[in-house]
Amino acid sequence: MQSDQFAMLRDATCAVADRHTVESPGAIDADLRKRTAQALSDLGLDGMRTADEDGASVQECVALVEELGARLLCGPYLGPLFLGAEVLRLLGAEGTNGAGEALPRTIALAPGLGFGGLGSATEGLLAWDAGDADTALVVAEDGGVFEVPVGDDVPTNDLLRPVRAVRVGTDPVALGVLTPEQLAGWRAFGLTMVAGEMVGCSRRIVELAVEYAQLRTQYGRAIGGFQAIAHLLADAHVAVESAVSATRYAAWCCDTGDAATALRAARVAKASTAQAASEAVQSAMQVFGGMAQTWEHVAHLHLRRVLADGIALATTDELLEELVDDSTERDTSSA
Amino acid sequence: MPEPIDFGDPAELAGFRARVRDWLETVPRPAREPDEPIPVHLTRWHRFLYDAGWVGLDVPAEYGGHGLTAHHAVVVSEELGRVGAPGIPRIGYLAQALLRYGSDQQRHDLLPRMLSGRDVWCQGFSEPSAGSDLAGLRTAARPNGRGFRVSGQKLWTSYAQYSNLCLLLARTDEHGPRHTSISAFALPLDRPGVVVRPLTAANGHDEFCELFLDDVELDRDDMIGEPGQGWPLAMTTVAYERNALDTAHLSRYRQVVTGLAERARESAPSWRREVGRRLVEVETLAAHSRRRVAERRTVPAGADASVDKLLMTSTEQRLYDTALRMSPGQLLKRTDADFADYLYSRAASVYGGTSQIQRNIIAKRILGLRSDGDR
Repeated sequence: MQSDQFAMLRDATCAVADRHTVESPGAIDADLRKRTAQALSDLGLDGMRTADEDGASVQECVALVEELGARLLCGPYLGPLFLGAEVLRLLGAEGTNGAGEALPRTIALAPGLGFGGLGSATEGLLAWDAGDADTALVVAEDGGVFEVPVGDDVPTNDLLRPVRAVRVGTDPVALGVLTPEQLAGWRAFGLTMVAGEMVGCSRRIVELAVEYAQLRTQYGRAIGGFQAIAHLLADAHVAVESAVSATRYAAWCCDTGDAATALRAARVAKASTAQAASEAVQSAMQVFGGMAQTWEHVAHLHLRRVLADGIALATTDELLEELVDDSTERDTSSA
Repeated sequence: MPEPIDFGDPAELAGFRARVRDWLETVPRPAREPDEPIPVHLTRWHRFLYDAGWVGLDVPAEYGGHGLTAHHAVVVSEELGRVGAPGIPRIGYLAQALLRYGSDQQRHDLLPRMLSGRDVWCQGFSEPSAGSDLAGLRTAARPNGRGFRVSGQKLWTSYAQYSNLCLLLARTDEHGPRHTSISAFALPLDRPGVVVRPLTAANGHDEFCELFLDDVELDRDDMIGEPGQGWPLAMTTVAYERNALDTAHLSRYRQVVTGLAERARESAPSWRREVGRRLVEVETLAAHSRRRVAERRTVPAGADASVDKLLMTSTEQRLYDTALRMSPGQLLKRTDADFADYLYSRAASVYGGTSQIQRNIIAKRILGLRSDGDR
């Protein structure tokens, strides 16, 4: 994308996100969810990955996701506008099926919110970040893409992101098949986006904690002047910066490298960020003291978000084992 | 606001990387002789690289360099690491100090000899009573008419016994403010009154030295920069010393973690996960280092070098800790090289500024957190 064009898109995205940011958990209700979903959908982010020079790179996508993750939004975007839209783009679907009906956009995941999960039955599948959608996409282990109907809410501990059960009893509709390279590339894309959301979410709460440490006084001085607090925040800053590096690098690999290189970098980014983001959020909560232990404060929304993202698509333990099993020495310098 | 980062080589570097790689594949490299001390071998390696044209790439040609970019030096560093060769000579930060603060005469005299490896430099900053509080250093350079007479003691001057020049910090105004009364000098170590005494480190190696200065005569021309510029010069030096552009340590970590991963594949799942974490840390550091290379094209090293140093330190210390616990037999062999590496990893949170000092720098200069003692 042209840089001025991207800057406009980012500003528009931030403006929408700012207007719909959840200021306190009490503000989350069906109406805000609906309005947020509509406003995000109107941005047209699901159509920005075109193949021409106006199309968004993965690094641009992750920069937008960082911004969205920094604001607490209770409407869907990662599922429908990023991961689902990317599946359809790879399949070459135009957004409608042969009968002219709108295709589903979000994705359904295995029972633990992991990748894959369509064996012989749809039992236990979870539509992630589904919003009001009637159906969701399943990307099976072999690359097969199916449409499944979505049922009731399954409340999880990420209060911002509803997960819904996939309805059983209806046969999945086959939409197409991703090649092995496309499947690996899509998974790399998905892991990188979730990592980007954790980066934004953790960075924001650390910024808020730094501001708080400059304002809050005890013993007659700002608490940020005490090394015990300053060092905690310095470590949180290092954690967030390391996550930024790993995530942006993974996005760059998605844009420039082969699918295997991208998938490896994305696994590193997701595992690295899950650890760094939860450490950083926990440190920020400590700086807020008792305030961050209340329901009204947003800190626990940030914590819930990074913990839930930490298991989404693949748990950290799964990623670590995949990385070790796949760690033949590689040429990691650029082509 | 996040901007896209270009992690790739600029287009003009593709050919350069190919040339370095080709050279490494065709030219035999000097091996370390039996019993050759590592610093002696590294000086020989430095001169070998210089003769081949791979040293001083980002230094202007008039000072003996090649007038290219820091990115070229990173490419050489990465390619050396790829084949397991020793890294690029660690003179980048000294060259930066001379380029920024040296007189034209000094740049012409000192830089070509530094780049070629004819001069070997060490760094005389810390003192027994001035470690983290470096600005409290007491070595005094008193004017004596045509120059200065220097007395004091330096500590942790790495490889001083193999060096002939020392970048020395000394106080030139004993009554002036702490930060503006320090000056920097190029001290020839063969001057009368200089005594170098190696210290044996915890791992048995003799990298660190003490330096005793007893009425050593220095000329006015030995001063680098103006009187009182020693502190900013030292801060420039340590920022570049801490920075992520030297990738030799990354190559070493990658070798270690690759070896651990091979063994972990045959081991219990808990080992696979632990080694997986080390692998993630090493690759995150590698990505971070590439990000810094991209950023250095437009922004000089500053307080963010402290982020790099803390990240490098935690990566190295956790890596060698895992390596030791995977091979506890290291402890049963007195001269085990892996155990020496483990012990050296414990120094990472001290040398180049302790981790606590790095956190102070981040809190103060990046996050803007002030304590009452700050001016």
